[in-house]
Amino acid sequence: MNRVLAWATARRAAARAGWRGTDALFRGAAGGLGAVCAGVVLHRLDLVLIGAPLLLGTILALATPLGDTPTLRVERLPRTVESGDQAKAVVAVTAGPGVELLAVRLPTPTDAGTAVGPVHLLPGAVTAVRATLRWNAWGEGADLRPDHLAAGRDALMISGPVVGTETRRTVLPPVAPLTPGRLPPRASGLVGVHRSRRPGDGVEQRAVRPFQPGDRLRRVDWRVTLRATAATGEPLGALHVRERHAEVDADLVIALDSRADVDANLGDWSTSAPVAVRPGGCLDVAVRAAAALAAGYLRQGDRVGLVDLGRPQLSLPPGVGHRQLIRIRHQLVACCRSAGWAPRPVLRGVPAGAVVVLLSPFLDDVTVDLAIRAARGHLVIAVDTLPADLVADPETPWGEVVGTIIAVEHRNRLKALRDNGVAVVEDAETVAATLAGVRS
Amino acid sequence: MTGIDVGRGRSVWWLRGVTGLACAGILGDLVANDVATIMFGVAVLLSAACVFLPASPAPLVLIGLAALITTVAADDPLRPAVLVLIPLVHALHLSCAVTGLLPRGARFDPRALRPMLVRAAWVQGVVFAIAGVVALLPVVRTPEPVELIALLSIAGLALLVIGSQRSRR
Repeated sequence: MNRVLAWATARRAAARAGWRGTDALFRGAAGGLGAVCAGVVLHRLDLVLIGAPLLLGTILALATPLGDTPTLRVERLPRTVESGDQAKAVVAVTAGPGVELLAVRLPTPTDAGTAVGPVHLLPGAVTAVRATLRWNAWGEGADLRPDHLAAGRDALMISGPVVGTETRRTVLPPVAPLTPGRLPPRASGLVGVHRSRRPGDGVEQRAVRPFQPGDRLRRVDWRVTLRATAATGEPLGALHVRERHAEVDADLVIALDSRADVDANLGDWSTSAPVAVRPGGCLDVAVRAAAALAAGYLRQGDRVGLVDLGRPQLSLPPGVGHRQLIRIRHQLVACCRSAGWAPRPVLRGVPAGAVVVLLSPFLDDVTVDLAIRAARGHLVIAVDTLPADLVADPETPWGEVVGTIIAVEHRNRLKALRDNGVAVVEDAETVAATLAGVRS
Repeated sequence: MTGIDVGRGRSVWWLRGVTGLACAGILGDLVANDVATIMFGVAVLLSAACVFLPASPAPLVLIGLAALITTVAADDPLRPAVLVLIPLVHALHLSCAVTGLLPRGARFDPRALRPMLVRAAWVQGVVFAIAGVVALLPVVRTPEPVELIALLSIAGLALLVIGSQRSRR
């Protein structure tokens, strides 16, 4: 049976390769010829005249020889782009003679309904087709697949349709401007941008004190030393040195809860999203917040890392600089690509003294337990990403009740977090104010 | 032609609109020929099928039905009802041929249809020239040998078309 199916499939594929007639060819040939023949046989000139255009058009169309089937080649585009970017994709067309119409599927900036765009009917003599690509939504996906079909004169003969080669691109999450707060410094290492309470080699002055064995001579404050000498009257009084604060690192670990992706409509929670990430859903909000936080604190010179609670193998250790920001944004896309339910969230690889910003909708108790456990060793700030106004499912009489229960449970979980020393904020912009409160 | 920017074409519904206009013209022609109500209802259904299913046999059946009704209605081969039907049938054939290639939501560049329209205009010119010549000629009965030669010529033409089709495959 399988062999028969394979044979039939191969026959169908062979029949579709190259040029073949359409129903319009049958209509033109059979209809035109039939009308003319019937008119001649029945001595009806009106039948001949009605059928003549179809027959003449068909003969003219078939008189033109058809060349090779057209081939399309997409010129290269960047593999990674920023959200909001746009570029011009050029598709080079190589078509033989006789091709009068070319139908090709290409996206347009205005249509947001389909991923790879509508079909465009173009003249067959075209050699290059340009399409403007605009990437509004972040994530990974196909944005160009030039399916094509060529037709001869009067669309009586066609070649195709041929499914084009899909080109995929990674659109990095956007970075919203965010004013970062000052993180609690981590008392290890001798570099960083934060002032430590300990003395060190920073630039901020801490105190002026008498010279002690081990102090460097370049730290001697000669003005204070001379004033002290003048005050005591001794030829060379006690040397005084300037003491400075140490400058140390601060670590921020962004913990992303990718186990749930829900939006405000409770009726959609049980259905799979038509796209990788629901626009405006909790995962979308969390990723945008994570990108903004990472950009803000990395720009400040802090070390920022990423932990995926659902898939800890996708986590990134803390690092600094612009490359770390690019790495984090790529990793956020990778986290969302493999996002899905996991029974137990895992938070590991958090350096000692690091601040943890936990982005989660807090839909289950295990996330709350995890945050409370983490708060015993770290400063944890929970960012609630669940949409504020949940909409009950109108298709079930229990919709309102379910919505109320979910809202109450969620409120209780946030209360439990606050009672256990975890700061809960509504969005990423409030993180800085919360940190300022903690430091004061 | 070198390059084209997509996104500025027209919706495929314009082409379906042309099909609808051609169908409406054919229906009007049938009404002018005092067609029976049942046949008119069938023609309306076929017209709807032409607009929404252009790659179906509906256009061929509608063309055949219209030609049959028009021929049966009167004897004068050059009356206005026949002369109007000639371009309408051709327009229906061509618009259905192009629309049948395109899925819903497709767009078309009007420049793509230009060669087809020019060719259609030439074909219509030739057909109306033939009609003009026929109008000038006297109406006499054709001798049987001439009719036989004409039939054989048509059969040969049909064989030529079928042969060219097979050689392309």
